[in-house]
Amino acid sequence: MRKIVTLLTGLLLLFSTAFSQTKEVTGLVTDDSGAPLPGVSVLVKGTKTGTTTDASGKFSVQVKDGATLVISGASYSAIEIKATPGSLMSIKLTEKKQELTEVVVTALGIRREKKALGYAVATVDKKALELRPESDVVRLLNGKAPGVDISNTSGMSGSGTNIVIRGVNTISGNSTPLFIVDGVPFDASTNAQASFVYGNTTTSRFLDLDPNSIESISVLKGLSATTLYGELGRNGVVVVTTKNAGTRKSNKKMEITVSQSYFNNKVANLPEYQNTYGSGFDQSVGLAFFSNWGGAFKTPADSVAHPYSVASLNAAFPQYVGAKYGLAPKNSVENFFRTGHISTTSVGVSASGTNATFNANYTYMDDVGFTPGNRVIKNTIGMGGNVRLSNNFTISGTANYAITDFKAPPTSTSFGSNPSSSSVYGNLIYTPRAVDIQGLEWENPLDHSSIYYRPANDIQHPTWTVNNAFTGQKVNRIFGNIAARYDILKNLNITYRLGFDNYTDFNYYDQNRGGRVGEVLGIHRTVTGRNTIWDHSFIANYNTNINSDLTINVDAGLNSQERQYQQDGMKSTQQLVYGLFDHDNFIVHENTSEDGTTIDFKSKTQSIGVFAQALLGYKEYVYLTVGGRNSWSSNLEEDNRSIFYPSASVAFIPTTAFEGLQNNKWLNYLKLRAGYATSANFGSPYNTRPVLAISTNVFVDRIGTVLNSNSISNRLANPDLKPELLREVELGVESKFINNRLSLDLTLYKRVSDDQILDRQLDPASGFTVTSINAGSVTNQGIELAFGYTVVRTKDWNWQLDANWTKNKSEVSGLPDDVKQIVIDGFSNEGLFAINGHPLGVIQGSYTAKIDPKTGEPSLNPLEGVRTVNASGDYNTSNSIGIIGDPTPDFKMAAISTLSYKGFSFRMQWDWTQGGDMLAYTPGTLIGRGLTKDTEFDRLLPIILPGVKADGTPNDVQISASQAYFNNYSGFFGMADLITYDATVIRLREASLSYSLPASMLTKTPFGSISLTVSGQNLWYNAPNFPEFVNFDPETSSLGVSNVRGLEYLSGPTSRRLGASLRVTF
Amino acid sequence: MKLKKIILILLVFAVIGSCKKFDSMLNNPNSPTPESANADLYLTQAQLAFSDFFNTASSFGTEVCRQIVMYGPRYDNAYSPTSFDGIWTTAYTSVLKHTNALIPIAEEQKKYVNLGMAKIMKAYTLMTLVDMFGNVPAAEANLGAENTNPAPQDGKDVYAGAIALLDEAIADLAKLPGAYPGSQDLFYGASNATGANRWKTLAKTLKLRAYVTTRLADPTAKAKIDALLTENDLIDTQAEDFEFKFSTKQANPNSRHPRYNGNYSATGTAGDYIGTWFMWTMVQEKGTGANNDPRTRYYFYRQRTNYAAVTEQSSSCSVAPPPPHYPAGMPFCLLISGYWGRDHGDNTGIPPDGNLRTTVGIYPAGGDFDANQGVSVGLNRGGQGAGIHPIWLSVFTEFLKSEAALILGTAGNPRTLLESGVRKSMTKVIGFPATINVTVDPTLVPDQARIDGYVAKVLAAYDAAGTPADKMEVIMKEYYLALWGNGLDIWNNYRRTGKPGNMQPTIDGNPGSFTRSMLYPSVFVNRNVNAQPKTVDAQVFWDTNPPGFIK
Repeated sequence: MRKIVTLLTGLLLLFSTAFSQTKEVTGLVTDDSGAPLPGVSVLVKGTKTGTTTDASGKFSVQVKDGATLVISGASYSAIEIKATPGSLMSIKLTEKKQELTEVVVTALGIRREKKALGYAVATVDKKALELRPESDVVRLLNGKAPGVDISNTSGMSGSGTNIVIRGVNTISGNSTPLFIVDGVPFDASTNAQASFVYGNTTTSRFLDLDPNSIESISVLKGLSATTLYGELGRNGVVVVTTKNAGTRKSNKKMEITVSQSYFNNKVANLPEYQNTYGSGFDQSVGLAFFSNWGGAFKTPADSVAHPYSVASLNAAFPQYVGAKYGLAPKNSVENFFRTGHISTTSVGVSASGTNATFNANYTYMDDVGFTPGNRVIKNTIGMGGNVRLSNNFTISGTANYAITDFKAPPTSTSFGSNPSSSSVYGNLIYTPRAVDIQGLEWENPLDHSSIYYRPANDIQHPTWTVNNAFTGQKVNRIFGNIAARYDILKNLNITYRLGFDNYTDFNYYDQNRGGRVGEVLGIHRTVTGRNTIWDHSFIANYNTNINSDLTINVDAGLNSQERQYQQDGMKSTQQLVYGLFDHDNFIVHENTSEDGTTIDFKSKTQSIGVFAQALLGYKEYVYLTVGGRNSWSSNLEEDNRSIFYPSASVAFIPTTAFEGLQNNKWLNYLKLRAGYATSANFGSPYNTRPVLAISTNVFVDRIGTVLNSNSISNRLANPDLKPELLREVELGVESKFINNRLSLDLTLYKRVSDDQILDRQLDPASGFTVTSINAGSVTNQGIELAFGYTVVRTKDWNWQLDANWTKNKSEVSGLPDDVKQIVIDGFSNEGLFAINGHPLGVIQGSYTAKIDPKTGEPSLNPLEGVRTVNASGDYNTSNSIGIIGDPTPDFKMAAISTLSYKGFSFRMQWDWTQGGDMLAYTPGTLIGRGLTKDTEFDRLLPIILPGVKADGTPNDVQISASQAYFNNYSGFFGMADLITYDATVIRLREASLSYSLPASMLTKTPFGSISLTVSGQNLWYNAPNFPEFVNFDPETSSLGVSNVRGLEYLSGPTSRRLGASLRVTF
Repeated sequence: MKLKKIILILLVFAVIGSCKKFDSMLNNPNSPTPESANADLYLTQAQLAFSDFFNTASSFGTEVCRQIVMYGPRYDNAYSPTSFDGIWTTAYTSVLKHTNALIPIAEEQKKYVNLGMAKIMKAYTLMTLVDMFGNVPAAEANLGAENTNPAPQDGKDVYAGAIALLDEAIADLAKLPGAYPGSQDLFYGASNATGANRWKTLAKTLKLRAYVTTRLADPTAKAKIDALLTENDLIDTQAEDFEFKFSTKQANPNSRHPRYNGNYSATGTAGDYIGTWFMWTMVQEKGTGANNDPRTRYYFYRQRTNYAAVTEQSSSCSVAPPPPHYPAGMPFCLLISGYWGRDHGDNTGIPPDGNLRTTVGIYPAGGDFDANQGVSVGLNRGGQGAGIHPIWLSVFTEFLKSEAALILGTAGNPRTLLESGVRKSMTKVIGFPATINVTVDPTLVPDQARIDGYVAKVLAAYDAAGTPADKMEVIMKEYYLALWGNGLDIWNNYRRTGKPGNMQPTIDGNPGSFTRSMLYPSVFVNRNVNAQPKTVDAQVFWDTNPPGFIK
């Protein structure tokens, strides 16, 4: 990649238009491997005469006799060589070992030397993305870039992924960063088809990217870096460069790359169950109970009537008439999960001619999840090329086609009681010990309905769910770009680029008739979403040297972007014939989803921006970047739809500026940077004008009259809505010490977003329930620290330690006095809120009522004081909700160790998240229902809950273990503060051992390289503040893809992957 | 540099051209604009919302007054503020918003019946909000952006405003309407003057109800009631009954009675528990077997007609002693003959008894008639959900008159009125299956002798009662039984009269104050700066009884 960059560096060189009559010298510049290097600067020493190599690495220059040429490329050590006219000079450049002039991709695909940037950019190389047991690009970024917070929604293969850069800036808006693939926008949304309550796992659309085809990813974090992208870049920008867009010259034996990997996919965490006590309550003995507070298991086992020995099942199961069922612990839950696998086959082709390059990639990925019924199959095809015409035009383009097929059983949220609609995890994890999931038939053979251990048959057998309930998404996506560049002058060029991203997203939710929850008569819902982005950019670039010290580089242009989303579909219920999912086979057809929202929906937004940015460089140690953009958006009324936002940043390199600091052994490099930038957010469309809500077929009366109605929408329109304004200051230091062995990169930032466009919930007594207003601010302040240390650096050994540490703190302020709080996500009585003076997204919920032990007065802070106990011996519940936690971690840290010896390389990535609270129902339910070893104490002993009675005296009411745990600690039946935990977690996210065959062994073979890697993901973790035997993994969120974290409603275990991959190039 | 200029000029034109287009992109393509609103469709919206509103209000009353179980265990934690978000939202953003929108349009179009309907529904809704919560926003409510924090208003003033609205409606309904709503009127289908007059009669009856409800706080109640009795335009025939009728349409849209939906499931499990004490009053208190309440088989459907399925697992209370604070003779847990309910304030875990518990019968939810089938519920049973919401029945008018005559000395004989109420209730209930095309086993239909016998028992009790309070107990017990399906009036009656006085206490011996008003909804307390939370012992303005007066 770095070779390409030299082309641009060449443009920065000085040119002399006047030169005297001399001799011509020609030459070919190659790298160590013999590949030609285009764009390398060739300068006649002591003059301003020079040129750059062309696409085939050749140059010709006029020199006087005895002249010396200085050959230099951005990532190569410059060499001086005596000019030898007459013959073709052959020049080899060696890649610089310790890279100081690193080049990164910045906004609009502009490549800049990293040292010139006044802001932080994190880059992730393909090495960290290839051959991984995970095909979600964003998950692979986890821990690899400071300031980027990534979390899974569940361990289900293909489930959505949250990515937030430098904290959430918006209360009601979207916080997903902008994805730019090969220079053009790429839709990264997660198009959930029903609210998170129904939990139909939805894939995030960056799943359509193939990690194996990615060359590099740059994460532009601050506004200084993203101003040119306009308001869409306000949440940060993930700039993906695919191999298809590459202009890299490939050499022989490197033209075709084939890789194959195979990984196991297993459950990472299951609770450690106790096997002493069985189903029931208060030591009772039976099988029908939902909880596990029953009597102790005995030898020989107690037996009860077989659950299928009931009148309604006698015909279907004559063998169970009068049969007995032994009460003994079973390992049902463990056995319910399977070992899945992930197989990835990838082929890449890269070819180059004198003036053209061509690349193509194909990857097939098959990810079979550990949950039965869960599978993702991905086919991605991409190609791209670049051709330089003789008339100064350069044409380039990429085209990618992705087919993603995801399916999974439904996973609706569960509070630790029977979920309201089908959920494979809903009741599973707390299955009472004596229930044999595998041994109890799941289907009534006569009518295919679900049967299970409860006499009322009110729980759906999880195996029935897996065999009869299906959700999925099939996505067909085409995206890419085509660009034409015209070089008007040596230092002035214009580019027009057309980007397109078009996908069809077919979703289904199917369940056969015969279930026990949700649509028990069967459901077939199909929804097709179509998303289109058209992006036009017109960019002019001009660069010149004003004098020998001052360079200027200007980019200016116009960008127009249109985004359209349209979905339609149908929900059919009441299946006629079991087993067939076809709308014809269902009796009732509707166009509303289970959560009551209309399936049909369309939106179209357009934004236009005019922008310019100038980079002024002085003597390669001071760089000033000034830029600005004016944006117009179709989301707001005319008076408010235009906004201008400027940015400025400066970089200063003392180690270059001051001679005294040069060639210092201890301090090798020091750069200071500062930036200030602004951006905007125009909110979501259609909030400024009132609408009439229409409902057809709302009621049918006794004589069959179909009634329709219309109503005034509950959203109060606000025509005066203005854009949100974001401002950010960023300061940073980059440094290298001790022979470049130690590097430190520190960034401090503070971002304020004012005039938040937020959904303000209204008291319905006003006539409306919600309106969009401009109010409130969110301030995010943070520190990002990257650290690198080369512990060992010898000929054969290399041990590199890298770490990054991130802390972000947010605060909400300025919400109007009459707005007490705003629900961000979750439920109105238990969820994540924005409240003045508190971090964005604090958890509010019910809590144990407390009194101040000194005054005896009720405590105002839900977390302070002494719990009060009622006459029954249980805790009193608060009447209102209060702040019981803050999900923001104190810090997040990732440490990566890479140890290599000759061809071997051993790599580990450890992640550490310190603090942050989580309201988690899985541990609450497991404890509250008496399943895990945490509750394997003598349950015959009474329990006195710590606290005080109404009169202030210490509680002395003795209650049974079942009552104490079930009524108080079980989540659904207890209080939310008792199941809110500190979510600190340490994790071995990745470990890999790879071996590359030495090139010397391959010289006589057709192969360019062969490498084998054994690796694993999520190999170990420990979340010490959750109950010990629950083995809970807090890296999950039941809210689906959302701005906020910290709520968990039995969202299932996470995944552990282990396997190997082989890569061969020839 | 020329080129640069040309580009810039082109860009400027492109920007200006595109921004003009932006105006048309501001309208939401998914919904029409408010200009296309149809007032008749607002009327439908308001009526459906009104039915919903009644159903929710009724549910809470039904539960605190023991007809359907209240899980409790205490009154102050039986419900959380969020329990009331739904009814609050329905009231303000559906019923009141659309009646308000409708009133000026109906007035302008001279659709006086529509106008009267809107005002009556609005008045009933406002009074019910006061009955439930005490002080509520009214004058400042529904002003949209003008006032997003409407302050609660004294309940007394809200009631006065509602009565004024009823008077306005009476005046409007006396005018010759430009058009009759016909089938758009989901209650009376008013397509002529008779239908319009039914609404007028309803308005006057609701005034009577308001005067009796607020009589403790209104020294002029007697005169007001007497005036209405003299005018005698009150709901006193079945044809005038104000009820919302559901149909048997199971889906697309589900147009069945909500209690049917919740109890006659495809999975064969019922969702609600009927209160043990309520069933006891019907099947045991006055006599068992042929001597029980003649309405029993219509009110309740037993999934099992005996207790063979009772085990410790299916009914944990069956192996427990009654709570020590229960007086002798107080029913607890199991009754007789498979009447499977739940005790007041029992919050223990739900046993696997969904296919065993007794559930709602054919009246008023449109469920099954109990003909000793003893089988579990199912999807298309009995009346298939074609039930009614008995919002105001002629039956109720008789009991109101009886109470007023006994306590205030208004016109009429309380004993005669009591008898009339009981007999009308029998007629209504026993005649109900035929109105929804259900034929019940004729041998199980109570005959006249059985009804007479029941009435005789009631009247004997009335005659035996010495004090007016004891007589009131008899009237209110019968009113309580007749009100099945309308928990709101039961709860109002209980708070006003303290009757029936022998209700089952909560299982917890210290349930705290009885629910004298509901907690304010969380959407009100949390989103409105003028709202302060309150506790369940707060009394509404017309409840002047002492604290702790009822349990």
